[in-house]
Amino acid sequence: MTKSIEIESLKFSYVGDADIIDIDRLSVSAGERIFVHGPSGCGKTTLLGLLSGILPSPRGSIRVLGKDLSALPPAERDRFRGDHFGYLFQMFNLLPYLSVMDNILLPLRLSSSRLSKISKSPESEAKHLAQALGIGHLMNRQAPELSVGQQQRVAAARALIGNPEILICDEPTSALDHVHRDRFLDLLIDVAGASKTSVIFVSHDRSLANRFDRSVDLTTLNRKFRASTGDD
Amino acid sequence: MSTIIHLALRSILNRRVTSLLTILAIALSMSLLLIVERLRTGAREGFTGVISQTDVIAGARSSPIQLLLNSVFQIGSASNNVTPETWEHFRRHPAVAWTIPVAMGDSHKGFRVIATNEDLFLHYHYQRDRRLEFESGKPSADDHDVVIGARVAKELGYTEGTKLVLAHGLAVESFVKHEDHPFVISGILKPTGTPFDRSLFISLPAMAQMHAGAAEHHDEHADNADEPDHHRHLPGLSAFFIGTKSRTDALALQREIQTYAGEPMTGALPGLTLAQLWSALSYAEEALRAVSMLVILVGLLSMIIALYNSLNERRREMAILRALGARPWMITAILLVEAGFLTGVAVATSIALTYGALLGATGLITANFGISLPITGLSGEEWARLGLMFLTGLAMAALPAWQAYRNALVDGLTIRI
Repeated sequence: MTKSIEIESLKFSYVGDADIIDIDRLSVSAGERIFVHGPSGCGKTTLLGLLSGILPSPRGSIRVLGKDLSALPPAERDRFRGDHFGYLFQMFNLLPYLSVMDNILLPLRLSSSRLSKISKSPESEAKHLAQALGIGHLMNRQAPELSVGQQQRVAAARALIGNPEILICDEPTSALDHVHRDRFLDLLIDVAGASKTSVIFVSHDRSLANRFDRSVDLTTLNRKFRASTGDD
Repeated sequence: MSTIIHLALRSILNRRVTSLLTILAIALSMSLLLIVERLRTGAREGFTGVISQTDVIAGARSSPIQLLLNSVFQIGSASNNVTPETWEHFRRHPAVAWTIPVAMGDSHKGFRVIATNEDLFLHYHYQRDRRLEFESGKPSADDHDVVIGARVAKELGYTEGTKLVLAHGLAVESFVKHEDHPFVISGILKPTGTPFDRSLFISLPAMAQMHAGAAEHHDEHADNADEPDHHRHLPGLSAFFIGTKSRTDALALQREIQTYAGEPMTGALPGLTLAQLWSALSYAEEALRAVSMLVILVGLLSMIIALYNSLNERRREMAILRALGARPWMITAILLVEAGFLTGVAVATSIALTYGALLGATGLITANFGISLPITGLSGEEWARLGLMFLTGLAMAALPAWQAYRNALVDGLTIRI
């Protein structure tokens, strides 16, 4: 099975600081859904920054879709992210001044490779995704008019339009109540599964883990965190 | 690029009220500058155009500026008079094409009386090529006729045929009135925007007669009575305007006047002296310009403040856009496009506001201040000024844009709330 993400002896520190990431091995297969959990401060944000190519050249190797991210210049990493990643934030995912439709279409405006991957017109593709996520009736609304749950679904549609290979979810359900959280996860996993997208889902809520292929504990994965807490 | 413009315009539309107020603030400040500059130009043209085609002004010995102030602007009074013989001498001078005699010293309810002859209506020009024209009536036909300026007619409510008495001296309430020599208004002039609007015009013999009659009351005019026969009907002159046959003669003629052996005299070149006088007043002009510049700065600052205020909100926006593959400079570009759009629309609005104001107020300004504001297209200088303001707006917007860039680098994909 092809790998979408391969990490080997990855170390990272912010300028002038001690290492905060030290990961021996992590690999994610294409279409695989992994659940990453850990308390705050265990390097979650940094790991996601490294995976998505926001953070500059770490030591060690981080290969995404066969490409060595640390070898790419910043501009290339930004473009790479736009072409191959969907990204879901905890909240405030939408540009408040754009309609739901325009928000969903944004990745296609910014990445020509994602635009080329859809077979229908951008608008009908956006509608299709929105319908699958149960927000088809909200297309002309402005983002601030929506509930948090609706906003997260719009964000999911935006993250998945143009079939990115990897979907990164940074605690996207933590602002939702139980009912909405479960419905949202069901839909997200369904839609991502339909497009064979790998999902990296980060959360501190372990009860969600059973919906994923595999669960990774970042406190054990990140040796730096293990070392620093083991000393206490 | 189209994405950047799309996002910038959407963002502006989303903050409609703030954007509109910002545009209005900038536009108002810009049109203030445009209007101030137009008024300035209008005032300067009105001022320097107060006497045209006259090459030399001759009068008794003083300074050119004083002579000009006295004879044209009717400010202050002549130190001395020029004798009719001297005038006679220069009006027969081979270089001289025409002269306009000006004798002052009397007034009517605060308005000055100028004794002159029909050459005034023939040869006096203002604003390059305009002449005194009659609203009604005609020039003085005899020594009891008086022609009055537009302002005099308006303020005193006089019409053709009104009878009036002149007063000796320039005070508003003179004790000595020339009651033995009443006048009848024979004509009223059209408004000119020159000091002549506030003047009354009588003939030279009228003035001489009036003073001859009053001579028993005041000794200072007794000399008129002692003049030789052929000048008996001519008073002393405050000044006379000269048109030369060839403009190149003006300098030599001025020199000749300055060194005239008959009596001590001063010759002023009106164009030059007006320019000197205007430059002496230019500090007020500069102050006015500085104030309008400051107002523009305040207008642009309001835009920068609005952009700065939106920066925190934009930190989220930036994280979202970066997650979608945008480069950090993109938010910078969005901010700059927004600023460019706001200032651009403000420039257009300011042009509309300026012409609106000009159309609405030009009549009022001309009537009240004698400044003419022709509704002409924007001059190259005005375009340049607008362009400069546009660029200044962009340059100032570079500050928050740069701040946004730094935020973008620092924040990465972290959503700041």
